[in-house]
Amino acid sequence: MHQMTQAGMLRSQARQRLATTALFAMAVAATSQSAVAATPYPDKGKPIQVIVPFSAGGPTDIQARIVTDFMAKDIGTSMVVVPKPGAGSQIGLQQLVSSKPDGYTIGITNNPTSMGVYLMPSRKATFNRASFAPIGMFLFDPETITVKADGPYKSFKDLIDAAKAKPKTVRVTTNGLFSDDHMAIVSVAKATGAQFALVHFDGTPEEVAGLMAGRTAAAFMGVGGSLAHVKAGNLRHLVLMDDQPMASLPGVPTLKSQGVNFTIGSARGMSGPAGMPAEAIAVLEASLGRAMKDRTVVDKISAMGTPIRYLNAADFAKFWENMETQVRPAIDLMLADQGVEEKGSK
Amino acid sequence: MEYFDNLMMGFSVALTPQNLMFAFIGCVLGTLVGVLPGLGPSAGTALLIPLTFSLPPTGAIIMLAAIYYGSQYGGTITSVLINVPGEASSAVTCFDGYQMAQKGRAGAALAIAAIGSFIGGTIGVMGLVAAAPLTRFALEFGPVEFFALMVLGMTLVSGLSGASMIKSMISATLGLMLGTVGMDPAQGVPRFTFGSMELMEGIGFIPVIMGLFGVSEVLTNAEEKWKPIVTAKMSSLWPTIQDLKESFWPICRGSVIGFVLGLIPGMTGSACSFSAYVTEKKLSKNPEKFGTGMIAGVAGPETANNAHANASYIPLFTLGIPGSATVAILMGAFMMNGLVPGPFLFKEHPDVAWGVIASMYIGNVMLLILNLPLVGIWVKILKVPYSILFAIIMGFMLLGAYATENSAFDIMSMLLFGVVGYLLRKLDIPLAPAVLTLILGPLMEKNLRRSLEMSQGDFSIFLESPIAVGLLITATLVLLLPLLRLLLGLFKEKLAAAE
Repeated sequence: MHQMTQAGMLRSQARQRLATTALFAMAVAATSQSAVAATPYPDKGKPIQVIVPFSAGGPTDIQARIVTDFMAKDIGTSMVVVPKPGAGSQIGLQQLVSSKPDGYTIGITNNPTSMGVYLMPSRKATFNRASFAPIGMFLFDPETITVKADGPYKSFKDLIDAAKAKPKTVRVTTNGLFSDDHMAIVSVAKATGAQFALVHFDGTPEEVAGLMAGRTAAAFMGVGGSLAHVKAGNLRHLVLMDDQPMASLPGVPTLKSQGVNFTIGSARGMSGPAGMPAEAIAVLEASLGRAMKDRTVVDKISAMGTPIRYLNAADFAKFWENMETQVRPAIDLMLADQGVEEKGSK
Repeated sequence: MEYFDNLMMGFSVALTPQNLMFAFIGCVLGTLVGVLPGLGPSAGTALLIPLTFSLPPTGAIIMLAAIYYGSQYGGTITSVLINVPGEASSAVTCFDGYQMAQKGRAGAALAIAAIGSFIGGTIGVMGLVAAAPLTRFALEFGPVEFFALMVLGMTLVSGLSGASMIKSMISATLGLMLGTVGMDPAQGVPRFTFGSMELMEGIGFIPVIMGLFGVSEVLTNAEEKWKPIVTAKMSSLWPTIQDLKESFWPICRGSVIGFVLGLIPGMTGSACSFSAYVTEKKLSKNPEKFGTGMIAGVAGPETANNAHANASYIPLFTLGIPGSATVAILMGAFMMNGLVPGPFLFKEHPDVAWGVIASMYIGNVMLLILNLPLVGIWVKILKVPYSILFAIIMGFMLLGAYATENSAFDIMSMLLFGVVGYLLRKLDIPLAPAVLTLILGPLMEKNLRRSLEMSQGDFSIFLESPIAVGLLITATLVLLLPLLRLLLGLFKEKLAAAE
């Protein structure tokens, strides 16, 4: 995994200059009035506010603090993490996109959660992908299907066969409604024709407890929340919903190799409001790139179990767009499955 | 013997001057987090995590753990002295603790709370040491069992009623209704949100508690001119022998209730303290005296919330599953330091695991030593003129309500519920049933829906679990007992009349 990340970083760096130039041109065209900066960015005395649209003390908050701790020293001004939780990240994101795009307010996005917020019509979100200026991605926690190690399901096929043999009896869990777990379940069900009994928990720990007690058959959850329990020998990964297998999960096939063309996971990145000066984006992007190569930052984040994956601004933008094409049909499926009367995603 | 050796090793880690200092700082910060109204243990821990970034892993976790159990001590102080709960699980202490203060017995209330907290906390830590067999119990509690437990909890609402049953039912219904606001837990449909984003995740529990208890207290007191808070003469700062006698069983029961509920992931400290209060009232020979300054009404809940805080570490240490919101935040701190909570922690990092456990023993002793002499100082707060004190309290409440989620909306809802609380007080409608149903209602609904998701709509799932069946039968008995007693009474009267 580390090797892959390193390779990715090298590639990204090669593209970085080109991408920065392109973004610069775009941003100048968009916000000619704010591009006139008297002092070079960042103004040393001016703190940069980093909005985290999730609760203080949660993984996104802690990861944001680890990364910005490095970046603040790196670029020479303070960075203040401000948790603004609520409405599945909508409150924080709303504030982020409506803040002044001067480079002194940026935020953390956690996709596809944040994506769900603006793609679901009932949320009445006033923003979309174009409202953000991507700075860089630092984490990607791919989704897995995890079962009890000594349970009856030894492979993805076992689970699907069981769900087909007795429709709506095999209990599969999410860590919450409309989460990436939920999107993965409806997508897998659609592709394979299996029918599950869906149970929505509050958070990954409850999913783990359900599996360990043998109350539920399989948990759809990220690598981050499950790896420790797999290593402890209590749980087993059936499939990984990433493009390629991961070195840290030996012998776990990808969902694609099992005939279901779907990849998803939780991607954490840094973005500003659209219209942010290209100069500011470039400074923060380069600093985030350095942070993700710093030993302390990498160690601390890896220790939390979530795989690091750095993408520069341009690659992150592309990644975001790709994920959105995957997520749109999944959202339609979720809403249909919930019996909510909505006319598809926006 | 092995446990003993391990624990000794833990003490050798926890007793290094550096770690002792971290435990002490944590205890002081925790007490402060508890004392400041509105700032609860989870917000406090979350806000203080960045402080520990540069500390060594064991020190960081010792300090954060101390903040959590320390806050359970501190939360009592404002509840007793000024009828404003320092944190949610001490809200119930207002009922009798404040009444004791009114009678000049604030010192006794605070001292008993500290002693009860110490005993509850220590029992919780001792459970941690002998945790392995208890692990199974934590896992046994799935949605089905949780729902059944909540049903039993709901039947206890009647135990909280004051003079008028109708008024307490009005209050209970209000709490249930407030609990339904927000996104429906099974379908994601917004309920009673009126298009407001802030209401999507429901009405914040802390702003409601702060409003109903704290702000309404300030409003009520604002009616009077220059009245000192306590008119009665202050009696001794220490509990009498009689107090200790009356507190003995409540402390024992509080320890058990807090400990057992603490093992169940998802249970909150406030649910524990409320359960302990109701239990004391149900078992008391003079239930009608509750709410007038019964020491049992302070000792039980204050012990229970500490036993809960310490016991909720057990699922984390044994299974890697955090038992409460605050422990989940602590789990983040463990992970950040490269320590994965769970059975392997004891094998891979026994020094950290046992060091933290030993530090919790030490921390509880520190808090007792810290809190008993402080009682005298805290009680002096009552001498501060009302007009000054309450302006300060109001400031802290506004700060606390904002700090939890950086949300101005929470300030507004706290003020709104302050007015609601004031009106309820004027109408003599008790607050306790509303708070209890607001705690239990959403948990009950969530677990009901989850159970039915598991069974695809089949209610017989509740009869498949022996634990759930046991709890449901108990709930039925609690409901039927008064009726049976009434019928029995009528029958006896008839017999007597016939003779």
